[in-house]
Amino acid sequence: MTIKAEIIGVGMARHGYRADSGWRDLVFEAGSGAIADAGIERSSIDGGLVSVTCPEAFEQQNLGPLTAEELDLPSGPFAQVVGACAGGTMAFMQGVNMIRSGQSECVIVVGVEKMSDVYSVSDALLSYPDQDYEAPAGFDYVDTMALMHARYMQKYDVAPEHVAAFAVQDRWYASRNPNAIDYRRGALGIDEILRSGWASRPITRAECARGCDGAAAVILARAGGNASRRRAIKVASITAATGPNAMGTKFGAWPGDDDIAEAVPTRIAAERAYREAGITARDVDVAQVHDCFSVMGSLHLEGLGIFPRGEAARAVASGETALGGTCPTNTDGGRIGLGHPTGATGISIVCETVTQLRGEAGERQVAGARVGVAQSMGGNNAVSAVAVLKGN
Amino acid sequence: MSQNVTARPVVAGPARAWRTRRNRYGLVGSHCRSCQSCSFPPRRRCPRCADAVQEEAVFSGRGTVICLAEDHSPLAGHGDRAPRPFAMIRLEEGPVLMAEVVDAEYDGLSPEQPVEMVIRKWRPEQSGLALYGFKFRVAS
Repeated sequence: MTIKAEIIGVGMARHGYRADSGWRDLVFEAGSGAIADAGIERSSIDGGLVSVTCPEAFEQQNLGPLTAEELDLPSGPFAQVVGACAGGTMAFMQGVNMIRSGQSECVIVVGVEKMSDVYSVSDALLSYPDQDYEAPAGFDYVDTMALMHARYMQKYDVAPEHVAAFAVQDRWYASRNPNAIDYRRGALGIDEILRSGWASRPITRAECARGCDGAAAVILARAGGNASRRRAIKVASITAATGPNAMGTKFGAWPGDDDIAEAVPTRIAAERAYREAGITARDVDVAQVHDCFSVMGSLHLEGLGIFPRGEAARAVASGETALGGTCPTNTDGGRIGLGHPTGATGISIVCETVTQLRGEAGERQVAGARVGVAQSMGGNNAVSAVAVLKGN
Repeated sequence: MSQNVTARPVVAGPARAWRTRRNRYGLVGSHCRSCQSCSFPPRRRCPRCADAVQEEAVFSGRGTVICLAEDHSPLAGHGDRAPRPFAMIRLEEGPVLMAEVVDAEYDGLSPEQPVEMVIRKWRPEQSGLALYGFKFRVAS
């Protein structure tokens, strides 16, 4: 008999610039929130995982046992997972596998980041891009993805306004999310975005995710086990796929004309995840995608098959990712509006998907959401992780 | 007499940069004898035909621009440098790489423009040495 995993609890620490809170405080906020949401005792948890992208920010490694200690958990398997900005979803995948293998009955998966502890997010993350020929030449992610943005516009004849529209829609959702940096902020206009100054042209400052502080946690349990709950959300599938890391090596890496303007690992992971979940892209009611920069949101929507290649940015600009559109996307505000505590991001997208499938998203609720997709990316499409969740 | 004590000692020495010196200065990559495709950086196995027998190739440095961007956010090791254009460049032998375009303004550059490789300073390393490597200028 195959063991199935379900999500029985979620918790979030408010995202933002939280100088008063250390990584332990954020872990406690999200972790204890998830435990309370699940309605279980701490003693029920027999395994865990913690995802952090940049522990150099607070100069502490070996975070598995420290996280278990912070949450007063029983002694058991508890590892630290690293997968760049997909680390949270990679940790979620490993947690699901701990359940499916029968190793654990009830697993907590936590992600946390303390970006406000560093002087420069770009420099703190500099060990993630290619270390031989890109980072040493002074290029970080905003630069590599500026080239992806330029190539996308060139290849598919897309205007800057179309790409920027992703940030407009992120703001709409974020302003309605109490956990988001942009909670209660007014609407963001296209002109305001395009006049916000260059980060790395053609990417403007307002089209960048905000590396910040935050945490997210989920509790996984064996379906039908002691910890199983009525409000549980099914993990229909979870997988990940890698691709070339250095920018130039993507050209010609796959058959056909794929290059930096396509999120190929997302496409590969989505095809597998959809197959395992028994769905197609058309069945997706709500999607969370990795918009570390505005263009990436559109690239991943195309990788997920939700819009055809070259068409996602135009679709976003036409309102297709708003409530009532073809596929409401980044309903928590995304990396741009919610914030991007990188190690937590891959788990926060699962939390938002669960909230949507439970019908508990309030003003951000997608009516009748039954199938949700959560996708996160690590590096420049070096890895993409895709989870499909199903409500009851 | 006081000692210079830092909270985080410099750990990275010069050996890693020394290992890539021929690639950075000479555009040394690899060539597949089976299918003739070229790679930069060099590969142990051909990414196109999977042949494990790869020979060293020294690329000419001539190439064309695919797409362009302009860096307005210098990293900590790069001081207050002015905005600089950079590009995806396809070498005439086939491989594509990412590099700064020097001696030019962003608005004066365009896709398909011919460029040629030059050696310029990349950044100061933790070891104290200045790291140099490939950049490109408009071909003369």
